[in-house]
Amino acid sequence: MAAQAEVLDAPSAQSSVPSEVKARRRWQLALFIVPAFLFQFFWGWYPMLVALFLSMTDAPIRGALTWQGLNNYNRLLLDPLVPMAFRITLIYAGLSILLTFAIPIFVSILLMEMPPNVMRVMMILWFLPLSGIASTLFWQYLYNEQFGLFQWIATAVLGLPPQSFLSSQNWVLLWLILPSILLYGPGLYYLTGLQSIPRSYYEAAEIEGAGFWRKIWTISLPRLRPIIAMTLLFAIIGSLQEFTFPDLMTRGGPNGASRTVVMYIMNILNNARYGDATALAVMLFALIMVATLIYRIVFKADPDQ
Amino acid sequence: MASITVTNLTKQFAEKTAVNAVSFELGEHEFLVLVGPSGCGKTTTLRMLAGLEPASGGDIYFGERRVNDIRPRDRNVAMVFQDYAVFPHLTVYDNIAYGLRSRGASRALIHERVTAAAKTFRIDQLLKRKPRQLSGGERQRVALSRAMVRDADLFLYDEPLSNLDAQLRHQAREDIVALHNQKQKPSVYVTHDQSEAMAMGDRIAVMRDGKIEQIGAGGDLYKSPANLFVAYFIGTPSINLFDVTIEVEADEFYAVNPGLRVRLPAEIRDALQTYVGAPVKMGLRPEDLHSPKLAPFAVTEFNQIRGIVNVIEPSSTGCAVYLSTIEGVPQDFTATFRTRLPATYLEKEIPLALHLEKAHFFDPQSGLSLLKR
Repeated sequence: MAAQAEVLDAPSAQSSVPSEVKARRRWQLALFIVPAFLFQFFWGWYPMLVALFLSMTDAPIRGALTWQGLNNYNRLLLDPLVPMAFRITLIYAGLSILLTFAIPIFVSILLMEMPPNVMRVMMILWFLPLSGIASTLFWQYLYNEQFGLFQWIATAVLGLPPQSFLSSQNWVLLWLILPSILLYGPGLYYLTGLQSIPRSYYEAAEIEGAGFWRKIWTISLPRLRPIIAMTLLFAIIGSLQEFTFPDLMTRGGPNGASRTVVMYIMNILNNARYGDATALAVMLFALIMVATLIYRIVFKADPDQ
Repeated sequence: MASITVTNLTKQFAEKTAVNAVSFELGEHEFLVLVGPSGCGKTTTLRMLAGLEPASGGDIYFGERRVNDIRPRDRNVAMVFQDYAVFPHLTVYDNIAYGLRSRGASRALIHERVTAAAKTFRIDQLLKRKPRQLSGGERQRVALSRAMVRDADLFLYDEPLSNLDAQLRHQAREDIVALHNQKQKPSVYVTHDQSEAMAMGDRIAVMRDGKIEQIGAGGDLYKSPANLFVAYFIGTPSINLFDVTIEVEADEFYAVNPGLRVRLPAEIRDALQTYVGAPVKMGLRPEDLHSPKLAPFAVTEFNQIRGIVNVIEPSSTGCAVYLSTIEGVPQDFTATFRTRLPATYLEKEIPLALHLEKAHFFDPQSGLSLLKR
């Protein structure tokens, strides 16, 4: 009722404002929008358009451009390393979303049942400002085939034959994803989300006869949906662009088994094939765009509508 | 036969004893209201009945069964929460069906029960909506429907009306009474609003500091409060309390203070015998102060009080008049009338007749009532 009254009142309220005031307001509104628009244009849309254009040229660093049409794309499609890079990227993204995305949700839900101290320690662990390089060095030590902790556990504790870890073509992707399972940030978001669910929901559910799993399924997960939606989107976009960690850990090896698309773009750039590199970047962009669109259509973020 | 028996129920939090040896029984169809100021332990008591809060001591029996160590879901209680606890991500239908689904009821039974409950509370046209699209009153009725679809053995209400505006509150009150009459199951209702308690409860337990001060029918609490707290808590406006000394003159008992000298009825002499010469608190309900011309008893110089009118507050049934005494230290008191007092009486001094047969007397130290009525 109140909302309706507001809607009815709105036009009359607006028309009572003198037109010069309205003009000034519009001008003030523009002041707020213009900087953001300029920023977005010069650092977002303009480079995108330029990239699209450059991907159809040879894009030399110096000298005149030569129009290539779709030649760059054709060349990339014939390069067997391109589909391989895409395949690895998709596997990497799928695996890391599967493993790093669902596990923190359940860990957070279980943590909520723990004493507050345990929860606090875990939140600190999740929130620790880790230096990317330092933690990479640490993981390199853990995976080291001669002196690493994991090798020691595998051989001395579990009595297994020496493991190849990062030099195994079949397992390298899994080993690369493992660190993010343990120390991946969204757990913190989930915990905050879980803490904002009113206790009375769980109490009502308990009185209505719901057990542990039913409470998770019918209350925790639906209430977390907006946060899950956000982290999932970031996870999709982020994992398709993965570069730093595998590059530092394996440089794409062994035999290209951990070479993602962005790493391959980097390789091409290093060979001064700027047109091809740009074209491959555009292809990756298209993939991410499609993935995002599908996701937006399939996943309804607001549970209360 | 008592269907709910609570004995010496105690809840100890780290710093505080929230509920202190509370005992009561609840009959098969009884509607008990726990009322008291905030922090008195009424909600904690309710939550222990539901099983949401473990008891630190004492026993809760549902019939013959001791339920202290039984989980909420196995106690078969229904509860309406203060914030309704209606799940915002589920439709009205799914909200109402939640308990039946948890207990694995058949689809046909669920459909039958849910539609019937929704009809009772006039939300049957809203079954497909999500709670966000509902008003506060409608959400509350979803919570009531959810409570009624199952055959619970005990119905619990935790201040279910406190988030509604005055008009809806009346309607919701009727809905709850209707639910109770239909189910005929023991119910415990928590509120801080004594008028709500008076209107709804078969019996009322007045709580303070984790203890039940008095338990009984609303009328009994009003007519014969066991102590000062209950006398003051029940009734609006609150009872007038006068500090008086009991004096005896020619075999008659008088209650005396600098602004007041009234002769007490003969029946209560025995009760006040030991307090002669001592201070007591005399309580008189605002409606027991009358305009001398309209008083339903003989007005003499020994049952009158004079006061200056400070405020006249009109109400639907008449008015409440706030006065203060003239002699000595001014003392505030209140009278309610069935008629409207014209504003010309403001700041005027008026005499009022006291219906002393209805006066209450309390020990000023212990607060206990001196009369056994």
